[in-house]
Amino acid sequence: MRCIECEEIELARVSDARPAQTMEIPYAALDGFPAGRSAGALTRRRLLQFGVAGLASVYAPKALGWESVWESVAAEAAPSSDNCLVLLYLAGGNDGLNTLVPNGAADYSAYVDARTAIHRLQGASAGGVVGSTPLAGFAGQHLAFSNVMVSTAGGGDNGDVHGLDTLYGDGSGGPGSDLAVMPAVDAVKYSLSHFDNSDVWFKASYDMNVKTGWLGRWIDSYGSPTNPLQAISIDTALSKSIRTAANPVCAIPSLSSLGFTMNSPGGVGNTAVNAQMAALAALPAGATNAYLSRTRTTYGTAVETQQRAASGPAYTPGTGYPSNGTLSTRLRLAAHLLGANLGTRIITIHWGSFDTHSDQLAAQDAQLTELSRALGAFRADLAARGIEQKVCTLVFSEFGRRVLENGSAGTDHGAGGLMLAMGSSVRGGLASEWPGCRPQDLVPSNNPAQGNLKVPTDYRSVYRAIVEEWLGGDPDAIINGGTIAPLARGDGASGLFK
Amino acid sequence: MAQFRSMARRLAAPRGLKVKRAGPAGIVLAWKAPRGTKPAAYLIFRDGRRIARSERRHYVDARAKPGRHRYFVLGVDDHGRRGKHSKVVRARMPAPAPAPPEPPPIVPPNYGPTLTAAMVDRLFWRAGFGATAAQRAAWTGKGHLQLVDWLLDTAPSLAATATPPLTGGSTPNQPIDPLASEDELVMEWLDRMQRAVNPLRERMGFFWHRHWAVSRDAGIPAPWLIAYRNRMLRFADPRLSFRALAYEMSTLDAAMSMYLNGSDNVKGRPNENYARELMELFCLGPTAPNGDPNYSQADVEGLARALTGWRLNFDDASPDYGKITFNPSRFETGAKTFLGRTLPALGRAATAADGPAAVNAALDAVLGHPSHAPFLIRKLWAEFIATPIPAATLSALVAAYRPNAPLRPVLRGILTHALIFESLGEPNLVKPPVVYLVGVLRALGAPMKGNYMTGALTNMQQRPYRPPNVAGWEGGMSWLNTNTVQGRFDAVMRAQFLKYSNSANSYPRAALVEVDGGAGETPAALVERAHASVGRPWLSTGTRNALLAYATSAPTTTVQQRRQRFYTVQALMLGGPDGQVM
Repeated sequence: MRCIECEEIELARVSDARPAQTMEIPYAALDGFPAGRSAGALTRRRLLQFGVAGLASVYAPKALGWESVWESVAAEAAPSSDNCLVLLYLAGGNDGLNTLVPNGAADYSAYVDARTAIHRLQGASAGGVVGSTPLAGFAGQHLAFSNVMVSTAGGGDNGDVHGLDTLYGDGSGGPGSDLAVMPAVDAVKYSLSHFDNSDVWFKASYDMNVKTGWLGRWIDSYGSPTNPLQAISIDTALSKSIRTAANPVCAIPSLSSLGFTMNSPGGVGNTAVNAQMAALAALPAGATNAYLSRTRTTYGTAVETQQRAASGPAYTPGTGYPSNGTLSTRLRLAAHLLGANLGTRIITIHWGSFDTHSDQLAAQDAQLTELSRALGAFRADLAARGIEQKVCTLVFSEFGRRVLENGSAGTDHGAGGLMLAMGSSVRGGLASEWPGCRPQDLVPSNNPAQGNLKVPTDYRSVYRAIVEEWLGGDPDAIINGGTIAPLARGDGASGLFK
Repeated sequence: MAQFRSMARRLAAPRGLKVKRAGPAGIVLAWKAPRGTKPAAYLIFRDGRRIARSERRHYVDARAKPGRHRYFVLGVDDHGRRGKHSKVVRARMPAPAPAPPEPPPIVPPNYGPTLTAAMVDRLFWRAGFGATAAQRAAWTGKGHLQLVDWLLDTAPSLAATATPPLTGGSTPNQPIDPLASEDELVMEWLDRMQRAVNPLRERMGFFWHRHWAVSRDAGIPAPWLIAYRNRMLRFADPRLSFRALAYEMSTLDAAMSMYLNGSDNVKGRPNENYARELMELFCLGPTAPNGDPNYSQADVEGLARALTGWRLNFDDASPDYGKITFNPSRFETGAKTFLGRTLPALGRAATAADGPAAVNAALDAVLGHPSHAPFLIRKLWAEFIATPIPAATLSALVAAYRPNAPLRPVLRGILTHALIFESLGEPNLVKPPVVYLVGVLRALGAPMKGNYMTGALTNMQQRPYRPPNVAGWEGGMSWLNTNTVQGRFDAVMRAQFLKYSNSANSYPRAALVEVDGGAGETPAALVERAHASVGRPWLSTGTRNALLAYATSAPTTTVQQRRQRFYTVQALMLGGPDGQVM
């Protein structure tokens, strides 16, 4: 004669559904409970969800024990969601000031003084010089979109129906206001070295010995121990942001290049050898042989990636993207993967280079045009697949650039880059404090030659908002470096998401 | 009757004093007697002090210390009264010749722990690209130290080949010219590695490329890159010192100067790029093991000022294109402070000697920093051995290392360490893509053509001449992601294609190379033949069993199927997980 709760559990298990009951389990009912833990938040539903009876992972280096079960369960601080993050990294240090142009009278005047060769105009483009269009609503007193990113209907030059202005809407944070702009964001102790600072952003750690990425640690804490498609770098390289210690992740440059195939001289034509490779990958390695162990695991994950991707729907790329360039191609694939119901939560795309030390306008303007059109097309693609509301696209660069142009019609490395967050679930508007760019606002102050934007916003605050409000989980556990201030929006509203 | 002292006049000065010889045996002086009364004897003075008395008119001073000395002589009469002294002559006593080196101890031909075949393979992988069958046979049974000394000391040479690399693309099957295209530039280096008789020189040359990283991505002209690469190869010789390499990189190397803006670093507009990386990446690392920074921003600035003035000729019409000259007018003449040293302000215009003097002072400071030796030694160790260097070994190698002495003792200390044979039964160090690919080419004896191999290296993310940034390639576990392991397998596909196929895109040959062993070949014989065809590399027992299982189950009715079975077994051996570790 069992108690009602146990009966419920048994019925639920047999019918492969979740039980209706969620009652706390008494401590004594569990065997080998990890020391120091309380039964507080532990529920039957969660235990069932995570399969108490020995979940051995093919890919984790050690079998799950009670610690892992507890961590999986306790980590459910937020309700389980399937919100997705697309992390778009603009490599090289994108110049935020020519993307979102200072618009207040004193700021604009200082901006023009500092950038005689490469500044934007206020208002329409004229005489070959790109203009700018103030952000709608409150933020327009501070900032304007460079017209290369503004739609035709908005009076801009990007030649498209979508632009940053259409994404931004009225900037109120309500429906239709789906682009959050975050100027002057950086690490508190920033470096002006590409690989130093980008490492800090990818890892959310200053510690050289930390090898995992911030999203990798999220995957290790809350992700699947078996599904490499949960986090995908659309690239030949795996982004450092999703490097994990334990759980599998993958790099997919294109769907046609997955798995292990042979096509040998005088042989039988295209032959997959994934099964044979999986057999070799499953062999155990010596306990201290980390390299062979990781090598075999990675071959196995590659087979797993191919099989899961192949089990999804056929690739149907969206239309409306501006080109077949790198960014559009990767966003097309991202939309397909997110819509393919393969358990993908995170996608990373690296695009560049934005390291415009000389002839900035020629390079950056074309890229900004492409970016604004591609983001718009991506959003439309996601909407057509019915998943737009669960995707947030976060755009960032490892730093910004100096206010003063250099002698080569370009700019040198500076502090405080521009971040963007896009999606109908995002609370649009000015989501970080604009520090101003007059000489007295810079650091060092009143030193135009060396002065950089002040950085009122720690990038970790943005990451915290992503984890807390969107992906779910405990930001302090995965973002290193001590207390993380909540994101202080420039428009006084609160939260990065609606 | 009073005795009067003789009123004889003072003896005159000896005449014609000269230095007849100044050799290691002594300084030989000779002179002539004075006019008039002849002295009873002569006194010889060195540096104002009397050193000898001679009744003859010559003297050999064998006790002078090395250096310059002044001599004069004067006569004395038989009362001991001194005459006038001769003119002064100067002589230099040479430094004594160094003692001849101890003859090397006589050792028997095989010395050190005896090498098994597995140990030979291990050394040729860690210090090379794998052993050929001939090398395995030649060295099994010899001594560990002997093989290490062979690897360290054998001068570089390239084996002849019947299948040199050829061009692909629109003008295929021509000999390659590294200046003609990106692919040919890379193939030229891969070809060297594939044919190297002593592979350690090539490995060390590539190590220096990883360390003193420059990238073609910066637009460096191909001839400068090749000159840089040749410098990396020259310094693969362990008789040369790290300091000599650092000096050349700082003052002679056009590729490095262009990559890190050495030429832009001038008086009044210092460019800190090279000074920063010299400390951060090339010599010290950013922090000491305890976390303390090794240098400050002020040190970077001071060091940059010391390295000013080295102008690179960017004029491609000039015969000195790519040449670096020190230009005194571009040299910072003010005081420069870095790493606790100050070079005082010159107080005058700069001259040609000031450039090298400042670079030498900079290198003294940087290479004298306590973090230098452990930083470099750790990095060298990690190239060859998976387990981190034990503390006692690091101390011993740090003590043996001198920046301006040959690097050989450090390399020998690493390659003769017992840990190089750790985990011998199951290799435990991942092969970097270049080492892996050259190993595949050598094992198969595959020729190169067009962009097949450069494409493979791009997929595996290690393309020579294009490290991702000035820190070189991160290496280690970062070589392994789902995409790069596919790239490693795919590299074997490409090598098999070039080795066996007779398609127009492949290496030119009359007919397909037949790999079918016939309908009667048993699975075990097939696996053995495939294994032998690539030099019998290490395979785990589990892998052998899995390959046998595959060979047993694979269809073998048609010749195409049997060929496929051979290729698959061969590819799984070379390009599967077991082939990735050494």
